[in-house]
Amino acid sequence: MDYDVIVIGGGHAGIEASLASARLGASTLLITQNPDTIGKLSCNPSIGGLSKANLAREIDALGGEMALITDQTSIQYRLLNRSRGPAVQAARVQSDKSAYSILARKALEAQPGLHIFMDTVDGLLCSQTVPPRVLGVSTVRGNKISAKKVIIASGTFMDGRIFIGEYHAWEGRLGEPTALGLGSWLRKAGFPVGRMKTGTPARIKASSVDLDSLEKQAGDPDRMPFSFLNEELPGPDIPCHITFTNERTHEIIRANIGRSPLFSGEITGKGPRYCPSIEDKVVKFPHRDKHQIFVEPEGQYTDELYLNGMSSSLPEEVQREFVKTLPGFEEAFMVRPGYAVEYDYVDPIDLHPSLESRRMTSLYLAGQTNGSSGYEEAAAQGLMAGINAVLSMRGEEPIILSRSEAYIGVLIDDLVTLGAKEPYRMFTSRAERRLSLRHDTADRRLSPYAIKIGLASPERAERFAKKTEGMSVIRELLEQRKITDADSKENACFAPHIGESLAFALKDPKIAGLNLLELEPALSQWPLSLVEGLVLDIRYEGYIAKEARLSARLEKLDGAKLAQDFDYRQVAGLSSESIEKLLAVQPLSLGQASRIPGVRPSDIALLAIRLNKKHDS
Amino acid sequence: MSSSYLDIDSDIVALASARGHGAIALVRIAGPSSIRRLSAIFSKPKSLLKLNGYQAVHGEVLGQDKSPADEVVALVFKAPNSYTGQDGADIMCHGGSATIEAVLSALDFGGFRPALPGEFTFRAFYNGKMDLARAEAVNELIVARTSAARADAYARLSGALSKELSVLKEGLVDTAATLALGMDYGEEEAGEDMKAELELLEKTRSACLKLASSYKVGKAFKDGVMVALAGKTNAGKSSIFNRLLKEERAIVSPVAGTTRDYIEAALDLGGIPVSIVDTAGVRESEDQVEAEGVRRSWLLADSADIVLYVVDAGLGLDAGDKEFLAAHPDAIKVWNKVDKEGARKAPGSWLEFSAKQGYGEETLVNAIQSAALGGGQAALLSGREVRIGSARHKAALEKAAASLESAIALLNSGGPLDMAAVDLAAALDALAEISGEVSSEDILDRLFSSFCVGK
Repeated sequence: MDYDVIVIGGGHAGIEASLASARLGASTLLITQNPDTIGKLSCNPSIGGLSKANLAREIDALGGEMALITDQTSIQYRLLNRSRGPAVQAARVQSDKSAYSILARKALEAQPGLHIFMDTVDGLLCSQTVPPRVLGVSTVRGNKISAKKVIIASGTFMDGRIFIGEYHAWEGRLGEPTALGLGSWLRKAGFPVGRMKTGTPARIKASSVDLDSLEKQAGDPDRMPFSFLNEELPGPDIPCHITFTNERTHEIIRANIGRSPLFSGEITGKGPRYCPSIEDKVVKFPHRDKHQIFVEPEGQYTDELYLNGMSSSLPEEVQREFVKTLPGFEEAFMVRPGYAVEYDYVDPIDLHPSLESRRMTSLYLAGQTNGSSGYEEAAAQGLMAGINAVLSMRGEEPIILSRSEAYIGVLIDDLVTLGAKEPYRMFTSRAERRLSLRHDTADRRLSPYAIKIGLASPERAERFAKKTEGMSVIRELLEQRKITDADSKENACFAPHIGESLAFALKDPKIAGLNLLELEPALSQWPLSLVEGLVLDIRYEGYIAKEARLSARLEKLDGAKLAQDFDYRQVAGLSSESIEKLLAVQPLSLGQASRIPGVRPSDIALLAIRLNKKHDS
Repeated sequence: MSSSYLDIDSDIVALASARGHGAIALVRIAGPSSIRRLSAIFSKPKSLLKLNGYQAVHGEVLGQDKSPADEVVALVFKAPNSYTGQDGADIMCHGGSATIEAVLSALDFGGFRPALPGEFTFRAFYNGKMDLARAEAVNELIVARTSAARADAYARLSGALSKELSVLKEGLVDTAATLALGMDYGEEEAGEDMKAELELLEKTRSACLKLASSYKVGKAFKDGVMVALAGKTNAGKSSIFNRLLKEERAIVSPVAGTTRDYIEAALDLGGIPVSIVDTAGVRESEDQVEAEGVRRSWLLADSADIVLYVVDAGLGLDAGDKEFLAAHPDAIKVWNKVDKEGARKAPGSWLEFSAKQGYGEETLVNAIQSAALGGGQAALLSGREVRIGSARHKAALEKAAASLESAIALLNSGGPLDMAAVDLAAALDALAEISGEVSSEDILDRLFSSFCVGK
């Protein structure tokens, strides 16, 4: 055996998968078409945002790399949804694209037990058993490399094809050759391979734009790092800008709409509803006279700007023309055109929640290959695939995070239960237990896993132990500190709380807004983030309990496990539609079964009886 | 949930018609192999097995010794086009209780299990034939005592309540979607204005409360109300009792204290099943029996839904009357015997009445109806309004309204969306409980066990 684990692809999923695998002691080979393009931010130059920041911090808590690179490459920080409650707010960082890619490659190269190899995988080696077991990979240059586990994280490169108006090319990213062969191999082997589509906007030379005439959006002064290993978030604060399309922009788009491959029928793959192209928006919302365009810097070492909200696959000259209609962009020079990319994905309904294929053992799939969209979503899956591949080698149970303990749990449960019909993006509202899934609690929720399996560095384990201890000391301080008459003389809002503990009084938002360090100086020996985290815990206790009650039913169902080889055709009374869906998904639990679209509540009750009967006998 | 309800693969049997003698009795069977099982104890098994749904066959049900238990007609139902959604049959046999026993024991021998209360309806619910609100209406329909009560339950059975609830739920789902938009997209992309949402939440909250308060009306129709006649001895309570019943049920005499215990009678008051109780008059009594009667009358007045307090217009009010009325401020006050010579004028809030002449009867009936319906007017009676008929619905609606109130308060004070979203989810959950979309097992258990067997 050449390697324990082979990871195909050096994007955000591949990076986390190969690092986790090597860090857990498995000899690992990362195969990429080009080591120079490892860790590229192919679309917008930012990490985080609503629910995605939670994913990034969860990846960090589990011992992943994304947050660490993000913290080192940040060129702007903003906390979004400040006014809408801590459970739904999240940080977004503008990241320096080239720096991100360099640091990602550096992290991989510095990792003992991990090799990077430049080649293109065009097929898998597998056994003739039923089901077959993957044994390694074959490449276009005729290499055959064996491994115990293989993880596919091919992103948009598997039979990727880009479109700019009438122009198209077999490329996974503009100017980078596609990876032909693996997609057809998987199709032939019976994998449910489909086509998906995504797009990216034009990049513009910043010095050709009159940025001063645009609304400026600077970052927040109080910056918080993504990684739990960092105390501070260094880096410059480079502003973004806001501009808007107008009627003239829309006219140009409408006049050329037939030249878009999306509308001419050239592209058959399904695109992301949540991140539509500008031509999509103009067609779908004919009454809107403008659309917001968010202008982001691509980095410190480049003069390119990213036009968020302007993704397009119209012909180059059309893009050039409509970009110039944007206020401030009259003289704009387009460095790269926007384009659409269509690629092969494998419907994740075919996967176990461990991300292992049900069709071929020891094969794992992660990232856009599974129909997701977004760096964070990809990285989260890569990490879990890497972890579970090694755990399986060790003969241990996979880590399957539940919906109530992590956004990663929601992400993977959704993918393997619902399948992906269009690019899947994480949203806060997808999580039922979002009050408990606050980004600042990610380490409390997940670091114990990383420590248990050995993925947490000694530094992380030690910091986590200190933090856990600190939080209990702080809680005790808050509980012991009683509100006195003197306090209420100092500040009238204490009047109704005399005699109560500070911890109790914190449920009053007026008290929670005060500077607690002044009230209880002993708190100042702890990092402010710990104190703030606890204040949130206390403030939200009642609502977290409410949320827990609401999802108790869900958890009870999740606790009822279903056998993987269960033959649903044996259950009298199940509707044929349900049987088909249950057989396709092979849910791990009644809870997962209940989330499969088309499976009726009464069918779940039927399955519950089967389970109860088994327990009785 | 008791496992036998969930044991939906077993074949069950129950007498569906009332016990006692009648020309025909109806025995109902259901279950996946119920037809096959019946054919094994049927004189013409082949004809039976050949039948499609909604076809009938005439034959004999055979007992343990192969001798006929009775001559019957079996009407066959085939899944899913049946009440339960399973295969089944209605077996019509002769109505004597010995015959019924013979048929039931033949079926018992054939391997049918006696159905639990409501088990047929449970299977209908289970197989998606009806939601919980409608399943409950089935039971209400069976126990309906007046035509208005029947109409009320029938409206629920035909899904009027479920429809109204789904409109409320849709509104909340829309609002939840708006909140989700705010949580998913941030201030830059999704605006702050929640005015329309707040309006809808407020509207939904009052609709929930209105439905919850309709429980009083629904309950009045379903369970009826108890009206107690109270007042001093010889105030004419028994005359009013007889007047309302339109028959001489209570013995009326000029001697004070004629009604020594209490008597009860049922009547239909504009569709409301009313149980009216004539009590012994309130007075100090040396007589042991009567004293006990008076004590019971006080107790009855305390447990009655409505108290009619009767005063003799010729005597007027005294301290005892005032004491009673102070304890029962909601009592309907009847100024009786206004026809009598020397009758005093009725004080403001009293209803003038003459049991002898029937004067004021309509006003009194209206007052009782209005009190039974919680102050609701006659419009409610005739109206097409949807009402709830169970305390479970009322509790769920009040829970929903309370959650909405909390969400509204949060949003109004600029509180965080993430908390408001939890309240909204709780409200939706409570509403879904009524239709049984999220029913927990113990609710189902309690609910169906209160059903009569055979439905």
